[in-house]
Amino acid sequence: MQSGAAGAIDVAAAAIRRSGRDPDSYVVVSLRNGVLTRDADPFRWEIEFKTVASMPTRRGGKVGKGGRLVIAVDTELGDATVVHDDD
Amino acid sequence: MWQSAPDNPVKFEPPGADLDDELEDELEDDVEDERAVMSESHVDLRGVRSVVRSGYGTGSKVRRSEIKPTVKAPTVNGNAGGSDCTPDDFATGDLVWSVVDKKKSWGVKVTSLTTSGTINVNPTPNKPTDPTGPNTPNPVTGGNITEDNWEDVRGSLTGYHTRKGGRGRWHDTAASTAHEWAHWDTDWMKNCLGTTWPRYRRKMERLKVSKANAATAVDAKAALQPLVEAKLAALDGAATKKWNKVPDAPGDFFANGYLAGQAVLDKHTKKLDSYVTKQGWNLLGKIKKALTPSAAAPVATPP
Repeated sequence: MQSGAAGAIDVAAAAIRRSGRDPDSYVVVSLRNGVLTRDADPFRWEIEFKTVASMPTRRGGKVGKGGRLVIAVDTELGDATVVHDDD
Repeated sequence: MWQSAPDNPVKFEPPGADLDDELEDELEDDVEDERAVMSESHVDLRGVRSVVRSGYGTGSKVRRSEIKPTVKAPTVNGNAGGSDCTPDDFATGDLVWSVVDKKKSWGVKVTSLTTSGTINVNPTPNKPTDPTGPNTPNPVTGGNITEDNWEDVRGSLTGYHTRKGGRGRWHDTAASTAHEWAHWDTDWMKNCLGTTWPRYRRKMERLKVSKANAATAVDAKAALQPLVEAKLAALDGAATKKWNKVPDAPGDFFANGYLAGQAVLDKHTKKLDSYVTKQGWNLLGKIKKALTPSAAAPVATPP
């Protein structure tokens, strides 16, 4: 069992790897903990990733289309479910 | 290879029209702005285009040819970790222009604009006999579609361009490729750059420097360079603003990437349905099977 944000990211990264992709191609753009929702649960996280290539290279620059991946994680069970996968 | 624009735009001046160039261009910009607002997602400004105006006398027209932004093929990575499309920012070298003599001043003549970018495609696994996802459907005898998985496969394919959709476990690299190229061809080239470039090109060609301040064409080039670069930066800013607003969520209206990807997946769905019906796994197939006399069944013969 892993806990905390770092643990949640580890579980999500493992899920990305299992899907045949390289987790290093992604950056975390948002991280939401279940504690902040109605179904309060310190183990549940929703992590939004974007591909590194789609990130703007300067302030106000172009945000690449696509490359968004949202994964729901339960750190208590070590489960990861893809909520949204672009493209 | 970049294409150069027609160098001598055909211009039919309306009778009695003696507006100076600047006012004329401003008026033309206004017409374009209105058009852009009215049908931004349908405007195709690639290639030669005519701007037709009325109000300068009966049947008067002003025709102008437009310089076509040429494409330096985007860098394509077909084995990327994720799929995305990003046009490059414009750099000084992307614009080719020269100084033209306008009697009392020096002006700018734009010759070409180059645009490029990057397309990444994350391939979908293609295991023709493996019935588990992520995979590419292969609805043939001995393929990867079974009575147990066909409904999941169909759901993945048809749910792509729906709210909460996106790439499912059953997908096709061709759909991701079509998706990213639609961002390039339609969203960037047509709807973002296509609607901003003509206006900024004209703004560039309105720039001038007096011969009192620049005695030679070389002096004029040096004086005009920062002004042209500022317009190029403004073009990049305007096109980027539009680009960043391009819809790209499954189920969104005008999400051209998802529309293109779904078109590819719909072909898979058609093949899948045909196969599943043939196997008698869906309702239609079951009915057909029930109505078809079995070859093995004994044929009743009259006594």
